[in-house]
Order: sequence, then structure tokens, then C-alpha cells
Amino acid sequence: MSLDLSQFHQAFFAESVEALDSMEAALLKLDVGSPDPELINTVFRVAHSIKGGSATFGFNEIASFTHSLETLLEELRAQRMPVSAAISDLLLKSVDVMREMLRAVHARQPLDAQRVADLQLDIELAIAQKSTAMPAKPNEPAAVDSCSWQIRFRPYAQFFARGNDPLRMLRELASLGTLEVHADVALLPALTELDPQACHMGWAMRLTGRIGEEALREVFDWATGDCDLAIERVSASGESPEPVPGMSGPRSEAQAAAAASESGSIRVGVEKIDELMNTVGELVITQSMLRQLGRSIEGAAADRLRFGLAQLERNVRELQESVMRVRMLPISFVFNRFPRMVRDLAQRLDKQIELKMSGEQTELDKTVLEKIGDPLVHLVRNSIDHGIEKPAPRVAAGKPPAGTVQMHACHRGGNIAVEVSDDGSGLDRERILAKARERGLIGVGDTFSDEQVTQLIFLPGFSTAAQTTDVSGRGVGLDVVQRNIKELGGKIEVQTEPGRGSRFTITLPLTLAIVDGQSVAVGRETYIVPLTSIIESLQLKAENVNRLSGRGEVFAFRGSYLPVIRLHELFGIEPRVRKLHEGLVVVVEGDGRRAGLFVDDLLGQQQVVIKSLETNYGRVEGVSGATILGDGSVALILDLAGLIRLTALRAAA
Amino acid sequence: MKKRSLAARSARSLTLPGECTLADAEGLKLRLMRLLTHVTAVTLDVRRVRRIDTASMQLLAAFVRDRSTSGRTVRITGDSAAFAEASRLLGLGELLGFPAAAAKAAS
Repeated sequence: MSLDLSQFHQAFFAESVEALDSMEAALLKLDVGSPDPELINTVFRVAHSIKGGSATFGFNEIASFTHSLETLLEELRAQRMPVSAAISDLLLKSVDVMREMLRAVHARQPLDAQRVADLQLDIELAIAQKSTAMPAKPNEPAAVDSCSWQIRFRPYAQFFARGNDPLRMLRELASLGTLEVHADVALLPALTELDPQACHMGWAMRLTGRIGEEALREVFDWATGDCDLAIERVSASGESPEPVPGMSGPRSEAQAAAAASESGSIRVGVEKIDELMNTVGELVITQSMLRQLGRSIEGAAADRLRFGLAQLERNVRELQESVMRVRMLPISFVFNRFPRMVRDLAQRLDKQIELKMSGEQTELDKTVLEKIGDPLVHLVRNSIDHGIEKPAPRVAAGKPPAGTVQMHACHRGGNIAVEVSDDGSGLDRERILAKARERGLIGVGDTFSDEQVTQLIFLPGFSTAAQTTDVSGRGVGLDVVQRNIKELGGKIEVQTEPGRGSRFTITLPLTLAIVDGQSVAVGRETYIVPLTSIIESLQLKAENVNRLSGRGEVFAFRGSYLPVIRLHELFGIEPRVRKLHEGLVVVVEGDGRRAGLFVDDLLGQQQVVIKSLETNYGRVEGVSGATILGDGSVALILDLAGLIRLTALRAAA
Repeated sequence: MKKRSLAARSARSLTLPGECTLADAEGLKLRLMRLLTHVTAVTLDVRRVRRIDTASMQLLAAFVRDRSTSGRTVRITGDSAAFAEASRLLGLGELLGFPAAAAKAAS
């Protein structure tokens, strides 16, 4: 049996990426001039553990880079070097480079070796400069008095399998001072029953020398969470006090917090959860099939059967919700990247900006979470670039010099709402109108309500910044943001007050796996129309329908004419009714355009589990997916935006 | 006479490979198990060992202990810096009886 280390790569990458996030967060909190030692320790621990991991797995470039970084951090930690703004920047850049390296190694892509080498050189230069700039404070190992440490170290069974070897740690300890080791083999099973991949031993040690506790704990840094560790200082001469068995010595708050978040959680691959989700989806279908069957059953046992089925329905729903919750992550995963971004942007644009975040613990589905990041980045950039003024004009307007960008997330019904607001200049009605006219987006004489004006900023090709900056004027406008959000079944709204700021609110469904749908009947088929797209359903009178050449049938609806989409014609099926006044028209909206769907009948509203057509069959224009109904038949879920586009094309042809 | 020659024939030794690591711990366990109940002295030759990890040392510790509890001995022979360091650092010198002098020398 051989041990393939690559199976641990995934965990290493995931853990390192998370560790880098916490390193970045700590760096951003770090006060230049009077740094909090605990924050430096946090940063140091991350660098140290990534170094250890990458060395174990043979990622030499990362190990070499983190080694330099660690040396620099060691200088900062020992206060042999001040934390200057330049150093702080250097460290933040190192976070970026390490992220890049991890990503490259993970994806087995080549590294940007030049960038890594340049930064590594900068780091080494900074260390070298310190030794010339601060000769007054030389290396002072003598600051630590000689003392003895009592160490109890018991690795957990999986210790070896995680790429750790106690021998390496004991060797490191021995290099620090005089080490006496006593092996505890009491729990070592008989050879015949011994699992060779598991660690069954423990060690009690006494280490004597000029050693600080930090240096000692560092030795075990990479193993935290994989072992019981007790470190106690004992007087150099006297007897050692008995350490509390199983206790891990005094811990700093940060370590305790890290341990608290570690305990009671496991890392699970997304594909496993998706599989589970899929199976639960199937279960929901089977259950609704049984329910339909139960209705038609008569006899003595029928009541009991129906009772059981009702119970099953409740359990299935709970199960589905639980699985759904497993996929939920707090939005802080996305919010966390903003402090850094805001800091960099403010620096670049010469503005003072305070970022406030609230509701970071609000949870949403991982898929939605992954897709909400870019729109939010765009909105925050917009706020900083276009919204918040430079300090001087702010003061002139009677506002504090530092602008505030606020990000807030909360649940509203079955949706999540994320707000990005600022106390900047707000949307300038006149400038927006002028720009829209200049771009030919609106006519010169057109008049608009305030709300209509704010909608103009979502038009393709719109940007009000007098000069396009490299910050938010990159040709990717708010129209893209709006389209992305609509694709997720959400919407974006703006409120603005000139001179006081604006607020963008994104509303998204909590999950993309289930949709609230209205089932409609056409002939013998059933289609699902997402409830969010439906405006209303109505029965048309024959005299309300006009036939226009080139546009097909249209009907008057709230002051405008909407095209009729005959679903049976589009999908080529035999309907039960052909006359518009005999069936029903469902007024729907997709991609900002409205239309009336002509259907035979409305059936009912229900939550349906979305099955991808693309993965199971192929992409079909006008259909966003499929679901399986209670009777086992398949119903297509309509994509209204696609459907309206399709009809417009056909009418034009 | 006959009995002694039988004993001589059955005296066994195992030469540990140069690299004793977790990757081959299962193999080492099997080889040690074959020697576990061997009635006469067993010799482990460590002279080739250039690298040895805790997982392998743990197996040797269990092997030596299991044999000694049933009154059977194991002799470790050969000169290997890696093996000496490992048994010293892991505090197993005394249990393994190797090398007697290194068991207490700490630094």
C-alpha cells in the first residue's frame, strides 16, 4: 500500500486559500506604526503553514517565496523592523502573489516567475535594508532567559496521513536546545492489530535552552488541529508541574477562535452535495407521484396510506431544506474581498473611504454566491469612482471628508437582498439625460420621470464619468450587471438623492435549484412559467386583439400593445383551444420586454426542482430547464427572455 | 546436536531497506509479522537505513515490545546515523535497545 500525497493537495489548496484570506484581513487591520502583535502572529502563522505545506508537497517555488516572506515577518514580529506603509503594501502584494502561485500550481499552469522573483527580491531588499537602517537593534536572542519547557505531544491517528512526521518536529525541537524525550507507547497496539498508517504514539519531552514559547509553538504550527499539545514552562531547577492532561496550554484568542471554527465541521466536495441534492430532487418527484396515486386509492387502508404519505411529504420537504442549507454559505465569503479592494481604490483615486459591512452572516446558495461577486464589485467600484467625491468638494458640501460605502445583506422572503449604498453625490439627473441624448439613447425632446432617468444608467453603452477611468469605465457597464442579475432570476433597483448618495439594491433568489412556478396546460403538455416573470393572467375578448402586419397578433395591455405568443405554434403541438378568447393569456416579462403567452389553461402553482436540459439533452432556445411532475411526466420550464427573443425573430423573418 | 542445528538454521534476520517510510509501512509490517513468533533470536540489520520515519519506527517499537513480552528477543545491528537519530529523538532507544549509549544522550 503506498501513500499518494496528491490526495491531500486539494485540502492543502483549500486551507491555504482560506488562510490567505485571513492573512489579508489581518494585514488590512494592521495599524502602520503601532501594529498589534497578535495580528502579526496571525500573518506569520499563515506564511509559516503555507511554507510547511508547500515544502511537504514539493511546491518548491511557493516554499522558497514563503521562506523569504517568513524571514521578513520574523523581523517584524521581533520588532527589529517597523511596520511601515511600504512594508504593509509589500505584504499585501505577497498575499496576491501567493494566491496566484497556489492557483497556478493547483491548475497545473505555469507561474508568473518574473513577478514572483521581483517581489521576492523586494522582500529580501527590505530585510537587507533593515540591517543597515536599524543597526541599533541587533539580533537579541539573549532577550529570552534560559528555561525549561515541558511538552506533551500526542498526534491524532491521521497525523501521518496528513503529511506530518513527528520525527521532523522533534528534530526541530532538538535544534532549539537540550531535548529529553520519553515515548509513550501505552496505546501502541499489538503489531498484528496495528494500522501502520495511523499514529499510535505520544511523547513527553523536556526542552531546556533560551527558547521563547512562540518559537516552540511554531514547531507545531503545521500540526495544529491534528494533535493534542500541552506546553508548560517549568522552572529551570525545580520539578515540573503536572500539565493538565489533554489540555493544550494557554492559547491566544486568535488560536482559540481558529480552533472553535475548526471543531465540528468537515470539508465536503461540492459534487457530493450536488449528488445528494439530485437524489433528494428525485425523492421529491417520487413523493409527489405517490401522493397523486394515493388520491385515487380507495378502501380501508387508504386513510392510513394518505396519512403516511402526508408524513413522507413533510419529511421530504425537511430533508430538502436541510440539504439546501448545506449548500448555503454566508455572504461574508464575497464581502471579505472588499476591504482590500476599497483600500486600493481609495488610494489610487485619492479619496478617503470608509467601508461598512453588515449582515455578512446572511446565507445564500453557493451557486448564487459565486455569481453575485462580480456585480457587487462593479457596484462598489461605481460608488467609489462615480459616487463619492474627493475630500475637498465633500467638505465644501458640508460632508465629512471621508465618504462611506455601506454593504448590507439580509433575507427578504425567499430572496436575499444585497445593498450597496454611498453618501456621495448621488445620480445627477441632468448629466444622465445629457449623456443619454449625446449617446443617442433617447430623443432630444423626450421627458422622463426621476425613476425613468435612473433606469437609463442600465442601458448598454451608458457611462457618465467625464473621463473613462481604469476603475469602472471599462466598457462593461451597469447593463451587464443588470443582465447578469436578471439571468439569476433577480432584479436590481436604484434609489438616489442628489448630493446625499445612492443605494443599489440587488434582490436574488436564495437558490437556483428550485423555482416557484405556475404550471400551464397547452394541449396535452404542461409547461412551467417562473412566477417571477408573470405580471398577470387574463382572458382576452376577441375585440381587444388586433392583427398587425409583421408583428402578428397584439393586444392592448396597460397602455401598450403586447405581442401574443401562441405556445402551441411555437412548440408545434395540438392545442385544445385556438381562439384567443377561449383560452387564457399570461402576461410575462423577460429581459425588459413583455408579451402574452397564449395557453389553454392555468393548472396550479408549485415549487419545482430544476433539471438542466443542457447537461441531459442539449440547449433549447426558449427553455431554461425541465422538471419532472408528480405523475412522472416531464414539463419544460420556460425561459421568457429567450422565448420573447425567439418570437421577435420569427415575426421579423 | 540435531536441535542446535535446527536453531541455527532458523535464526532469522531482516535487513531494513534504505528508505523506511509511510509509503512502505504496510510492507514492513508484513515482514515483521512473519518474524513475530519466531522462537529464536531475531536480528534487525539497519546498516542500509538512510531515512526512516516515525511510522516505521512505531512498527519496530511494537515488534520489539510484542516479542519481548513473550520472552523473545530482538537484536538490532548495523551502523546507521539515520536510525540512531530517529530512535534517540523519538525516545525509543531504551525500548529498542539501540544503541545503548545513544538512548540517553540528548543533544
